[in-house]
This record gives sequence, C-alpha cells and structure tokens, in this order.
Amino acid sequence: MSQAGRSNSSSIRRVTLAVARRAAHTAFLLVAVITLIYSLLHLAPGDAAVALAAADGSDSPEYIEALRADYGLDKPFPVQVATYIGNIARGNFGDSFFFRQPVSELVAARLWPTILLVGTALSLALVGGVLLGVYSARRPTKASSHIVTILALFGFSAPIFWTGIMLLLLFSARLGWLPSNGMESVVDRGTGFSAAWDTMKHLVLPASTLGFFYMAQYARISRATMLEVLGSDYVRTARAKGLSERVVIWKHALRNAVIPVVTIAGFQIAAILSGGILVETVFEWPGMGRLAFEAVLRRDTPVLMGMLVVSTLIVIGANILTDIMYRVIDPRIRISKVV
Amino acid sequence: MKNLRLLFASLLAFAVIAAACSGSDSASGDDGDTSVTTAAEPEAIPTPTNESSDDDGGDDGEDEPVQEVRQGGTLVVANQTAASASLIGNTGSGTGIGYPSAQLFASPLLFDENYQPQPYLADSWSFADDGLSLTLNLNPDAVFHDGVPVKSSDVAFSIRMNQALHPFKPMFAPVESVDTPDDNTAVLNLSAPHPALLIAMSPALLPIVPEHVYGEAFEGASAEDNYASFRGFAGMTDPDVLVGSGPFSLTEFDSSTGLVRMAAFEDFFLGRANVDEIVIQIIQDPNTTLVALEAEEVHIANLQGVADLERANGIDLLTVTPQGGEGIGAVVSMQYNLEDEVLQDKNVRKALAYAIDTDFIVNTLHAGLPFRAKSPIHPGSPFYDDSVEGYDLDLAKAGELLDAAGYEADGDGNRGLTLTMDYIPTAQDYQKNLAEYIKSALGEIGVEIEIRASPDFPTYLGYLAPRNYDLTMQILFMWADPVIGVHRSFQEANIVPVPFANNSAYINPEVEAILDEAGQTIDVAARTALYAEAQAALADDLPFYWIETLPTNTVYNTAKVQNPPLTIWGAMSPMHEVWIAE
Repeated sequence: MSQAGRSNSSSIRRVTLAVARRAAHTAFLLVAVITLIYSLLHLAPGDAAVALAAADGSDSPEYIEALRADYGLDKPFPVQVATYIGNIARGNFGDSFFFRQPVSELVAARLWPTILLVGTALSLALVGGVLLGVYSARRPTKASSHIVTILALFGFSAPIFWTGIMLLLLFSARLGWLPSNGMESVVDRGTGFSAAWDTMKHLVLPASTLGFFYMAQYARISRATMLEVLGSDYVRTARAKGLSERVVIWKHALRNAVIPVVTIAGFQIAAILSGGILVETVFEWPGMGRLAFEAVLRRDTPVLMGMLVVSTLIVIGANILTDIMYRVIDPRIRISKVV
Repeated sequence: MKNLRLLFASLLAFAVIAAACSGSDSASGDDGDTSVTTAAEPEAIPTPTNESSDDDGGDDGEDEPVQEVRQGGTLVVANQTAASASLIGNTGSGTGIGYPSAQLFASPLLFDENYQPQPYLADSWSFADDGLSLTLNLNPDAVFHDGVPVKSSDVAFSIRMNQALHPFKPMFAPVESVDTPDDNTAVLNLSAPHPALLIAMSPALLPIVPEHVYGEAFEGASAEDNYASFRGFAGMTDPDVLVGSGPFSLTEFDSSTGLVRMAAFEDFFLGRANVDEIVIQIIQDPNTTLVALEAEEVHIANLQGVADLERANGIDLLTVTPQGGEGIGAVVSMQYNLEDEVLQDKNVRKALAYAIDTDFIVNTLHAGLPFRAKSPIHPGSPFYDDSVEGYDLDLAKAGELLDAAGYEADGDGNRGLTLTMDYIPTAQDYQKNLAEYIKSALGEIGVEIEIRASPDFPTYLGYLAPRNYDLTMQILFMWADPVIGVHRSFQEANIVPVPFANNSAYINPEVEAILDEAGQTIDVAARTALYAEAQAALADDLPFYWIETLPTNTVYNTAKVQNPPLTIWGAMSPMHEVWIAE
C-alpha cells in the first residue's frame, strides 16, 4: 500500500516537472514566434494603413497618415515589436486595427466555436476511424472490408471544401434537413435546450466534413496496425488462453494498435486547426482559422498575433494531452520518456 | 452492430454521390422558366429613358393579382462584407457599413432606380438661384429611436461628422456652414455650386444621427489621430447606445460574425416597417450564399461571379436582376501607367485597346452579365455617354499604330515590347481571368505581357500606390455621382502615392477644367453636355481602357420577397416597404 503510494507521488512529481519544463519551453517559443511573425508581417508588401484606407474608399494621404498615427504604425519597427511583447507579457493583446475592439474579446468570441468544431471533428475521426479500422482488420478479405478501404481512400483524397459543398448541396439545399451556414439560426433560435439543439444541427455538417477527412486516415492506420498486432504472439497466446474474441480484440490488441493513431492525431492538431479554415469558410463557421486568415489579408497585426499566441498554446496543450493519453493507453510508457 | 456500420458506410457513399449529381443538375439547368432578367440585351440598361416607371411596387411587370401586404416576419439579407467598427455610414463607405446604416438611419433624400431624388427626411429641397445654398425642409414628424424629434441641427451635425470622418471628401467639401433658422429648416451654404450634393444625401452616404447622443463624443475627439476616440465610441455599434432615425433600430451586432439584427421602429415617420425584423448575415463564400438562398434561409443577396449568377439563374426559386445596387457604379478597366516610357505614347495605348475584344469579354467570357462601359462613368448614370470611341476589335489598326510608334514586328511577329500586368487579387472573374485573356489578346499583336500575381490585396496596393506598374486591371467605384468617384482619377493634384487616386499620373488641364465645371453645374442638361465632352476627351487620351461594369446583381426569393429593394442603392436604401409573403 505504502509502496504504491510512494510510486504514485513520485510519478506525480515527474509529471509536474515535465509540465513545468514544457511551460518554460512554451514561453521561450512564444517570444521567438512573436518576433519572427511580427518581422515577417513587417516585411510583407503593403501596409495596414493603406489597406484600411483603401477598404474605406479613401484616396487621401492625410487620412492614411492619421490612421498610421492612430495605430502607432508611425513608430520605428523595433519599438513596435518591443511594445507588443511588453503588452503581451502584461496580458494585453492590444486592439484590432480593423474592428477597433480588444483582440482578447475577438479571440474569446472565436475560441469556443473552434474548440466545438475541432473537438467534435477529432472525436468523430478518432472513434469512427478506429472502429472502421478494427472492423476491416478483422475480416481483411471480406467485401465489406474492401468497401471501408475504398471509402477511406475516397475520404482521404477528396478535398475538404469539395466534400463540404457536396454535403451542403444535398442536406441543406436539396433535402433541407440541416442549416447551411453559421453556428446559430438567425430566425427562431429559441433558448435553453432548443438553442443547444440548434447549435448541434449547425455543427453536423462542418464537423462531419472535417471529421471524415481525418477519419479516413485513422481508419487506414488503425487497420494496418491492427492487422499487424492480430498476427503477433501475445494475441495468439490470449486466444489460446480461451479468452473471448471481444476481450482479445478490444483489450489486448486495440491498446497497442491505437498508439500510432494517437501519435498522428497529436501531430495533426495544428493541421486540423488550420484545415478548419476551409470548413469555416464553406460553412461560415465563426472559428479562429478564418479570423486569422482575414487578419493576414487586412494586415491586422494585433489580431493575427493574438491568434498565433492562442493557437500555439492550444497546440502545446494538445501535445501534453497526447502524452497523457499514451500513459492511459499503455501504462508502460512513462511521461518523462516522451517529454 | 455490423449491419449498422455497413448501413452507415453505404449511406455516406450515397450521400456524396447524390450530392455530386444534384450539384451538376442545378448548374446545367439554367434555361428554367424563371422570371429571370439578365443583362444580355443592351436595352436592359436601366436608364431614365427606357426604364419602366410602373408604380406597382417594383414588381417585374407581370400582371399578377395584387397580393395584400403581409405584416411581420424576419427578412434575412446576406452580404459578403461585414461592418467592422461602425454601423454609421458617416464614418466609412462600402456595403458592409451601408447595409445596416441605411436601415438604422434616415437621410435627407432617397433615390429611385433612375437616379432621381425623392423626399425622405426632407419633404422638399431647393437650390438657390446662384447655386450657392441648398434649403432642406424637414418632415416635422420624424423622430429618433429615443423619441426626440429630428431637427435641422442634427442635419448640421451629421454633415460636420461626415466632413470629418468620411473618406469621400468631395461629397461635402463645398459645404461651408449650415444655418438652422428653425427646427425644420436647414440651409447648406456652399463655396461653389455643387450638384453632387443631392446624391451625397443618400441613405448610405449621409445618415442623420442625433447630436444629443453623438455630439459630446465627437467634439471631444481630434483630427490628429483620425478621431480615434470618437470612432471607438460605443454608439457606433452598441445596441444600448446607438440611436438612429431610420425604419429599424439596432438590437444586436456581433462583430465576430458581422451579424446585424434590427427591429422595426414603431414610430418611424413614414409608418412602421412591414417586416418585424431585418437580419444582415455575412456569408463570404458565394457557394454557401447560393445554398442558403436555395434553402430559403436567406431572402436577398448580391452576387457578382459569372458561375454564381448562372447557377442562381438555374434555381427556380430565385429572381436574378441587374438592378438594385448599381449606385456604387463599379467600372472594370485596364489602367495605364503614363509614367511608363512606352505607355506615354497615346498611340501605343490605343493599339493595345484595339487588340482587346470587349464584345468577347462581355458576352462570352462574362456571359452577358456586365454592361459594356466605354468611360469611367457607370453606364446606368444619366451622365454616361455611349457615343464615345470604344476601340472595337481591330487588329490591323492595332498593328499600324504600333508600327507607327516604332515597335515593328520581326519575322515571328514579335515587337520586342514587354509590359507587366497587375490585377486586384480579390475579384477572380473580372480581374485575374480578364488579365489572362488580355495577355493572350495582346500576344496576337506581338506584345508580351507578364502577369504579376499579387497574393493579396495589400500587396497589390503596394504596387499601385507608388505607381510601380505598367498595366493593371482595375475596378473603380463611382458612387452615383462622378464628383464622388470619377474626378479623383484625373486630377493633377491627386497624383499621390495612395491607391485609387490618380494612379495613372494623368495630366490634362483642359479635361480637368471641364470636369471642374461639370462638378459645379446645377443644370442637368448643361452638366450632361460637359460630361459628354469630358468623356470624349478621356476616351481619346485613354489613361484607362474602360471595358465593362462589375455586375451588382440582386438575387432574391421571388415568392417571398415583395417590394424588393431595386433602386440604385438596393439594400443600401430603407426597406420599410419590403414585405414577406407566406
């Protein structure tokens, strides 16, 4: 009992240490990312004041100068970067040039829809992908297994925006079952449960579009690893012990087969976040990807920087979560090893 | 369980295949018997002379039984551009701000589909004989959303605010002061006669805002920093602070999605709006807009893309019309940089124009959707002159002109002439595709074009503003009167390193004098004659080769939307008379 307690507390200490080391890395990484991106934006042709004036339809040099003064763009570049990093350190992300609104509010408004979309899509992709993979690995020569393989190939090779538009045409335009865009109905949304139901209906198409793409990949990977695992000695041993097929598959084989899927999913968080832009565009989903993309087009530096800082944090958080998942799936893997 | 999974898999396969088929269906079915108006025939150009003036509420002239006006419902309007930091048209231009502003705020005048002024907040108006003042007689019944009457001092304040904040400086530049002899009379004193003043009082351009709400914040701001504190004032977007004068009051603005929600204002002086609510929804992807229209989630939208409009034509539910928004007056052109050694030669500019087949562009490449435009003035405007030189395709003449200019063709037909071509990267059909067509067309006469693709709009502006280009595809917006959006391109003083100024570096004092005079001539016939003269001279000098309009088509649900907004300002006009049929 006390043995177990000690080993528990030492493992907690290891985890804490690992997380602390991660946090230090993160802070360093953030400063580097901010300086780099800020410089890149500065090097990009065209400047924010001119772009904003043009969007307003102004052809007056005085207007552009006034905009520059308003946004502090008339200061030397190093001063701008230093001011920005200083502000971030104090938790102040500044105001958007375009929206004239605190960046923190804009990011906060987009964060929940992003988490909802990416979280749902990723869960769908992981659960669906692994189930399909296991299913087809168990009967690799059956027709149904081939169908899964073909579907996976199709899902993987169809461009996200194309899938999105096709689903839209069918389920919104033709059948009228699901709403075509946004996260909330603009008419008759209701409150409480009906509002939640409304958001769920809006979520179905974008989450499926994004989810199917990754589900296809995970199905292929888990099928391949499952096939390999099913041929290994310990599975044969388990079967020889007389364990039921269900226990063999779900308890013994799957634990090992699923690790590569988790690894890839962890790596892909960043890609899914950015892949979200296409889905967000097709379905007008108010997520972070599109706001960041538009910020680039508007040279809205404060918004873009805010987005990058938050996305960096999300990716780092997701990686930590992946590490914890490893340990849950396979207790032999210790956090310190993967960190 | 096994069967369920199979079922799911086959359902997915079916869904994708079925969607693919239905997609191609709607794209090819464009000869359906819908009440579609396309711009195929030039006679369809809405001009004061040939436009039908039926007052049957803007219906398309079919003899349908008159339906009874239905009250209630929510009208959903889709737009591609969102308002950002303000919903008040005095602070900026564009449809993003213009759509909500025109519903939230009334303006002195309205304009019909023929560019003719109609009473709105002003019951009547008249220029003094010398043209140096304009008197507005305000409707005494008009009240702001907080119940306070709209007074002449509010008009004076709104003009001051506009002069300070709006990017279109020519609109109210000649207004020196505004006298308010009584609460319902405003007299605008002008430094020079200014006929464009009337159109500058349109809903999208001069919303009347309450001085008692905005005055203090405005006076406390300074021009030094572009009135930053006032632009950040809560009354610009906050439903609890914003007080308007229009048919709808603000109930919600979500800057994150750009969604604007407005409720009918019970005490609107022209009578409560027919619909209870208007929602402006921002949908950027035209494909999604079409799906939303087809699913009847959106009632009215504007579309420009060729494929999008053709698809809209194929959806039975929808009416597509070139009306409703031509006031912004977008004209597509190829702009020459006259500081370029080669292009300084007028004959080279003309030669390039002769090699471009505008008939092919308008009718084939763009499926007859735009109107041909031969001058910077939008063809819908009463001041447009169709008789100017249009440089119809003539390769022989193009060759002769280039020979005469000293660029003779070698054995391979090559003239040793290479020019770069830029384009605005945000308008695919009317910029990128056009640039590519022109590259091949100019190749025919031995002129080589190198297309320089800008990855985004600010990059393009970075070439245009300092005049670091040879040729560029261009779209310029007239905003209903040449004084607002046309003169700027031809004024010597406007040769500044700023986009959409005089970026051709065009100098012709005679043309500038004619334009100045036209801008100060109240008499319409005399003004039209002056603009005809200016257009002829410009077509000869050719600082731009004008090609066509950018279509500003309105697409709406035929059965549901009654009295659709089809004036020159479209949805940038108050929509209190629009109603939704069952």
